[in-house]
Amino acid sequence: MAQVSPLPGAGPGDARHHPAAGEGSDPAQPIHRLVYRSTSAILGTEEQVAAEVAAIVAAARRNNLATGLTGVLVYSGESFTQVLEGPLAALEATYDRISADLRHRQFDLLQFTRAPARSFGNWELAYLTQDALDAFWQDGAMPGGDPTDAANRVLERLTEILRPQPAATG
Amino acid sequence: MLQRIYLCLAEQHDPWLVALAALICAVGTSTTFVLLRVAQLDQRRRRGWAALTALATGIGAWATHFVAMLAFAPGVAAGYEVGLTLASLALVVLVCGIAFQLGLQGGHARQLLAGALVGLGITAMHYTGMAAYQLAGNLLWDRPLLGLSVTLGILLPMLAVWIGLQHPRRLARTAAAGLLLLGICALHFLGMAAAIILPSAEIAPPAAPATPGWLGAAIGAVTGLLLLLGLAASALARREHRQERQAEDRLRSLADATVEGLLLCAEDRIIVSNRSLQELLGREDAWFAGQTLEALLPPGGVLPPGLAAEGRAETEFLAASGEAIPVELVTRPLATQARPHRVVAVRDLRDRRRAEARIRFLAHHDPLTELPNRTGFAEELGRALAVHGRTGQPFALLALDLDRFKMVNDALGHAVGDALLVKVAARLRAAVRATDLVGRLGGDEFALLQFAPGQPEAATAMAERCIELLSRPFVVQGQVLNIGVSIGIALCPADGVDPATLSRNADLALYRAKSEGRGTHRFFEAEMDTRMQRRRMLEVELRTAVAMRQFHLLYQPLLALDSDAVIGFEALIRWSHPERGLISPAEFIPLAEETGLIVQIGEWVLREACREAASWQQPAIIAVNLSPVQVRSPGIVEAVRSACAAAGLDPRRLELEITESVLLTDTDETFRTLQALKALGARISMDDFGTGYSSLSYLRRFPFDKIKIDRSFVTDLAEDAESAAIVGAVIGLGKSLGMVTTVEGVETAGQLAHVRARGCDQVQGYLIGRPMPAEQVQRLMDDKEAA
Repeated sequence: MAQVSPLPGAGPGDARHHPAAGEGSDPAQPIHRLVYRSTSAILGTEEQVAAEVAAIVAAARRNNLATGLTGVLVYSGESFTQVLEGPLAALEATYDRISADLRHRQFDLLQFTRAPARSFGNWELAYLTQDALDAFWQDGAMPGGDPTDAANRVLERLTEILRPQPAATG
Repeated sequence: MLQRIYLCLAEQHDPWLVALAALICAVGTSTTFVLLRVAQLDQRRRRGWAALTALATGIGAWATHFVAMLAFAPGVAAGYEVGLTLASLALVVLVCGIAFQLGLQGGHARQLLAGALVGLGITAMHYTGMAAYQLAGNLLWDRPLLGLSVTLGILLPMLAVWIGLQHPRRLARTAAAGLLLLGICALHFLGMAAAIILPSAEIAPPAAPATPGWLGAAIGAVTGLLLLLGLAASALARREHRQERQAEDRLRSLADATVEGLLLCAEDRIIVSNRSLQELLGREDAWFAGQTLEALLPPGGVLPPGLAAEGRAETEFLAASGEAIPVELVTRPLATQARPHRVVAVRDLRDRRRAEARIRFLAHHDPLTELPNRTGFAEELGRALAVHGRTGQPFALLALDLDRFKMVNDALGHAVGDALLVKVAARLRAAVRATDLVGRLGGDEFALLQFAPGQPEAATAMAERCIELLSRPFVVQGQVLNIGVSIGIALCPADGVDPATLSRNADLALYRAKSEGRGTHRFFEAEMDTRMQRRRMLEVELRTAVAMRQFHLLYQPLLALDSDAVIGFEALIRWSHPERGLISPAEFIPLAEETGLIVQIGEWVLREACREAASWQQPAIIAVNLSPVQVRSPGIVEAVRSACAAAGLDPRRLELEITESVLLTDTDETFRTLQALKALGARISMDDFGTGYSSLSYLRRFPFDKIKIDRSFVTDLAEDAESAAIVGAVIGLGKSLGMVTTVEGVETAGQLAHVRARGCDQVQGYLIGRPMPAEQVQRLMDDKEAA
């Protein structure tokens, strides 16, 4: 079964449960969601790449916590797939930063849309690596074709993987 | 000596009278200095006040002297000689008068000299008075005591007057009065102690001595006078004090209300500051008092020269917070003060400096994206070229133009367009290295300077980075927007070493990138330049052609199929170049449209065609083509109206042919123009129908009078069933919409038969007639007349 792997490297990476406080969590505020996929252009040895990705995840979590965003990042070693959701202004500002980042190549925005609710409200940024990916990409779930379809398939798989398990809750 | 003095005072003097003498002296000396201050302030009546001061001083000293003499009991009969006694009074008043006149002119030397004179006058008065003292005995002098008496009698008044004139404040004035009092008393009592009286029977008592009684009366009178003077003087002093106080209060509240900082300085020292300055520098008033101006400067600061007495200079003051505040200092001397005072106005320049910096920034930057603007970028380009000239460092100039930006701007408005530009700027900043430079030249034009060796690979990589980043979707206010960028690159020194050439070549390369599919980059190539030069030459020649009337019109007949008669002509422009012969409209019309020359050329065509048509015997139709640029030009309706009016042509004979591309932009405005043209009476034809979008909505939105089916459908009419079907359908559509249909390019009898069978109204083509010169049309029309 797929599992959420801890943050590569060390640090307080397991504080992933998003606190419900903060302006971003106002239930009355409309939620927007984006899904993108890109090829990683991070160069270096395996350790260097791992360290840089860890730094990206840590910075993203800090930013998300501060601005009320939640989401998932999947890193395969070659590609990133990310879902981010939250208030429009914060989401747009974060998207501006991500889309201007040259560590992504073949950047593909699959979706940017109003969402009825958060799908990953418990995660300031869930981080999935190779371990989880075997399950993620199996049975032909590799996104392709129509971007909206791809985005929906990504969302479906990820919500499934990250669904709180009965043993873990309580 | 001390014993002598003691004995003289204790045993030979009546203590009550001594006390009275001291009192008179005190009244006299304080009156002196009050009046002296008044004399100092009241410049206009200075002489009068000086005289009065001299009178008070003289009377005070004289009365003191004689009351003290009354207190003196030498033990022998004594009297006073009247003349000499009065002369002593006159002497002291006179000398003091001269002294005060002198002292009031200012300056330490004059003031000290005046003081010495006052002392001398009083001393002279005392010893003249002693000379008037007649008694039955010999008067001998103890010389050391006499010397001391004279010395103190001169020195102490000298000091007192100097202090009194230098320091106008009350305390100093009191001190000065005290010193003068001390001087007079020292002179008198040391003088008395120095006097040794030896009674002698040989010396007869004075024949007609002024008795003490007489003297008492005289002293009473002058003392009364002195008291009056003193009272008047103290009243004056009080008033003066009050006025000074009020003036000071008014001045202070005025100073505190002033927005500018103010400092009052006496010579180099600060006396007082106002509230604005205290707030500016974050310090209390007390901190300022006694400081020099230099103390306000940051460490190591030097006061700007030319600020000494009167002037204006800029410097920095150090606030208590440690901030160096740029200030402007304006210094003015203060005339009313006895000593040189000046007021320093301190103007806070921070706002102005900020505004200046902002203005400088705005002059060189685009306020929206904060990137260097055209001016700023040109400056940087100049700098880069200068560096290249010195060091040979190569660089690349990239000209960028956004693809599809105008569409976004038009569709979603300027606010979204502006927000998008800001995000574009941010991505470009991300695409370049710290040493490179991004500028926004205006609209959706950007430019980059890349300082990197290894060209053209480095420029290629950067162009690709820019293209990749800008082709990623943008999100503005929740809307996903897709634009892109085309890039032209010129390299220094390969493609130019001056700004004009480099910029032009980068633009040429950009032009090529845009025309070859956008979203790509091109390097400048020399071939682009030659092509561009050819184009530019053509443009020059075209302008000449307009001026030299090198154009003429040909007329192609239009056949009505119901009557098989020529019912009109389409005017077609030709350019006969003096050297190159006939130039095809396909070659020069696009250039004329691009340069706007089409408006002038089109107007000439309109006038010429109308004039020609008006001369025909038959009221045949004259069809004139209007270019999209012409239709959008503001004067088009008036141009058509005046062409008809000038020629005397009935506008109903005029057909204006427009292509679909006219309708692609600004449709509302375009439809209004077409309506106005129609209102003149002219008919409007849709030309080349079937080649563009052929949107049927255009046919619905505007009631065209005629549809002209493009020649391309007619060419393969015989072989191609689809073309035949389309021609048939359009003819049917025209009929149902009540529009005339014309088929162009009919060249064979078979084609003619086909379109006739389909119910087409009119045809045009080589089968009917080639475009012909005006004379031939005239003949044709005449023939018809004859027929």
